[in-house]
Amino acid sequence: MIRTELKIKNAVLYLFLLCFAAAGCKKFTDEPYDDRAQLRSADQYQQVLVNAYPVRHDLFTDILTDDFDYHAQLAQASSVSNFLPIFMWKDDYPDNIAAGPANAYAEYYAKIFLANLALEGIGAATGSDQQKAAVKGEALLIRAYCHFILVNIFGQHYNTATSGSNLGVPLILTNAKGNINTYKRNSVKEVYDQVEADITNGLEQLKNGGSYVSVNPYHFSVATGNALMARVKLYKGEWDQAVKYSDAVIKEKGYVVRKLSEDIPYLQSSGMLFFATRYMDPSSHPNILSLSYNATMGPLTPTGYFICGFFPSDSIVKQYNAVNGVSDLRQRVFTSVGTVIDVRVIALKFATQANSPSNTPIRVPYFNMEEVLLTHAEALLRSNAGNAVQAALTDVEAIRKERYLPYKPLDAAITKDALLNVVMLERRKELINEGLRWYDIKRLNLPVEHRLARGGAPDDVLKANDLRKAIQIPRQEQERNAPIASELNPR
Amino acid sequence: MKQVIKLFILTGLVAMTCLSCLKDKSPAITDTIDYFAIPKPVNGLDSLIDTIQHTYGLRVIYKFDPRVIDPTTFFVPASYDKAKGYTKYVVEKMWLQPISIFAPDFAKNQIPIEFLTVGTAIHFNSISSGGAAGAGLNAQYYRLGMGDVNSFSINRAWIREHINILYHEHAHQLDHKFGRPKGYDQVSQGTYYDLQFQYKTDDQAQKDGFFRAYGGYQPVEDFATTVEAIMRFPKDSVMKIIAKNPKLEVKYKMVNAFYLSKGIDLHMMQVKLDSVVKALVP
Repeated sequence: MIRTELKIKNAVLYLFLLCFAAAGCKKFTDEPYDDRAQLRSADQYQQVLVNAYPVRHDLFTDILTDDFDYHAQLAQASSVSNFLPIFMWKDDYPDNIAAGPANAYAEYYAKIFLANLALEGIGAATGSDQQKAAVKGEALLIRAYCHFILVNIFGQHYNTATSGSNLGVPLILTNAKGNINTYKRNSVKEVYDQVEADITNGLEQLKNGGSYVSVNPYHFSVATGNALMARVKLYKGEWDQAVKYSDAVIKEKGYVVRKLSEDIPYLQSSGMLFFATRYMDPSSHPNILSLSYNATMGPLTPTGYFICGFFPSDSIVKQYNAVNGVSDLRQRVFTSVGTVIDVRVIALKFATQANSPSNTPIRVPYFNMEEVLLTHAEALLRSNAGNAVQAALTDVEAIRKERYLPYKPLDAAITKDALLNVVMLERRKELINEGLRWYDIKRLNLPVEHRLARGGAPDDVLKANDLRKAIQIPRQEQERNAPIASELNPR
Repeated sequence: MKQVIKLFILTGLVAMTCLSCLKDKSPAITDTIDYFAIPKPVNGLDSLIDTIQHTYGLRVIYKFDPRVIDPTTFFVPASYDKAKGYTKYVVEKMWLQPISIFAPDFAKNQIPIEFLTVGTAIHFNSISSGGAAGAGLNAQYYRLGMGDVNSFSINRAWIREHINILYHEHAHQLDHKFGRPKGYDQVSQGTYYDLQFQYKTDDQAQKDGFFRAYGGYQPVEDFATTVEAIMRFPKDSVMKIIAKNPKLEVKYKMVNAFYLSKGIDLHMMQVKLDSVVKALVP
């Protein structure tokens, strides 16, 4: 009898404790279990976007182009195994390395996630409508930029006739909440349409953002939004639109070009490393519209240090040589590496050191005025605009007069075709090693020859319409996102 | 039952230990190739090489095997007769012997242990690398290599000039080993020609602070061409050159002090080599 009473008492006690604990849980689960910040205000969403800017993980594409040669004598062993497959346009490139397609895929989607996080939460956040518009505009432009880079790396280039059926990349417009999420690829056209819609919407929002729109060059602004749209339109071949948007940037910023003659003295007074680090300093270079920062040189590993293995090609390096006594100041941006026998150089645009690329932070532009001016000039010359040559000359001369010494203007009677050739060469020379050449190779249908030994026959040729211009989806993505494995780029 | 389990585990452990020991007793490596074996002399050059190695601690190599061949370096070995003459006149008489007599500390500590005789110029990356070819091999400081040995002849001017280039290549090794003198790279910082050196004259280069145009390429060649100039010209000529630009004087003093600290007076050696070559090729 006593034992039964004891059992009942114990049961009541346990039941009471259970009720107490369960009641406590309700409040307990109201709070985040790991003390993470709750996003409730527009201020907080602005802070989220600070981290939503992607590292320029598309810089590796430079080694896919005719701007870079492989040089075995100056290739650190890891460069050979890591980047030679990419240089030779192989699908089975390694993916657990400092730079390459896998990093780009992961990076741009990671930033799309953060942009979507802001877009999904900003509506319910506290803050003024102006501030919310600024957040929304910035997030839309980040999302547009990331999708745009992804589709241009992993899809065929935009083509009006075929882009509706060509494989693009998955469009991620809302963040999935499931445990295992899978994604299908959208067409190139769908991605481009969404990119343009996001930019248009984003620019509209930024214009309503008032003083909340950042003027910090590490953030999107109306000018950089227009610069992005100008690039999108150029890649689509919509010349008038490319002119319109690049014109908007020029109207806002003016013909602001890097004054290289003011940079070069730092080579002598402060040395190569200082020169390289300062080269992308936005405060002293108003030509830089916006840029990304990375704590390491990782994204630049294939091309950025003395034994990286891939160096500006013989074909491009000779373009900087003096002609008829006129020297190109941009030649000073390069420094020789290896021995005089190697005859190789690297560009001192970001930062450089003889070894250990992991320890050097780099700043790489998303957009600069030189690209905008050259986009404006090219689009004008390819359009049916009446004053194309005259207007394009203004763009090109703004750059040329800061690059050539002694400066001599082009003949005002230059033909449209001849000027277009000048523009395309200036574009290649001016933007070398800034991760843009590959997209030009694609949109201009250019073939590329790559050699393993200098002076030998090409070891592989990327044809004008080569399917390998759409880089294969990274292996890790194929393994973890099952549906995409049946949507690989055709070969 | 517990006793049985314990016994079973103990037996297993003992058996495993014994079996493991058995494996260890078998030699894992069956490769008996001695990559460092010195072959018996089969000709006059081999005998000369053995003598030089015995006297100066440096072995001349004229036959190329996988230990010496570098997969990204391309050249043609020197022919036997040229290698033999070169080894006798240049390596022994002009380089090792004068150094061992007039700069014994330098000879003892700074001379590499291997010397490759290469018939042609040395190409990197590809045999068809055009005009870009090296005079020597200096990437490893235990081994020096000199190209153009097939051009050897018992000619005073050729031998004297070649020894200047040899000192140039050896300067690269000392650079690798010790680094250039502190502050050397800052003297001409930001004014190097890089690849544009090929469009400069030596006269212009001296006005710009380099002993010759090639020295304007980069600090490494600046250092080596400074050594080369001190070996090529008499001291009073060097003094006239350094008067053209204060940077030259700074660099000259740094290099001279660097070599003195290693036990060799380059000016003295320049004079001695002029005498030796006259005695060798009257």
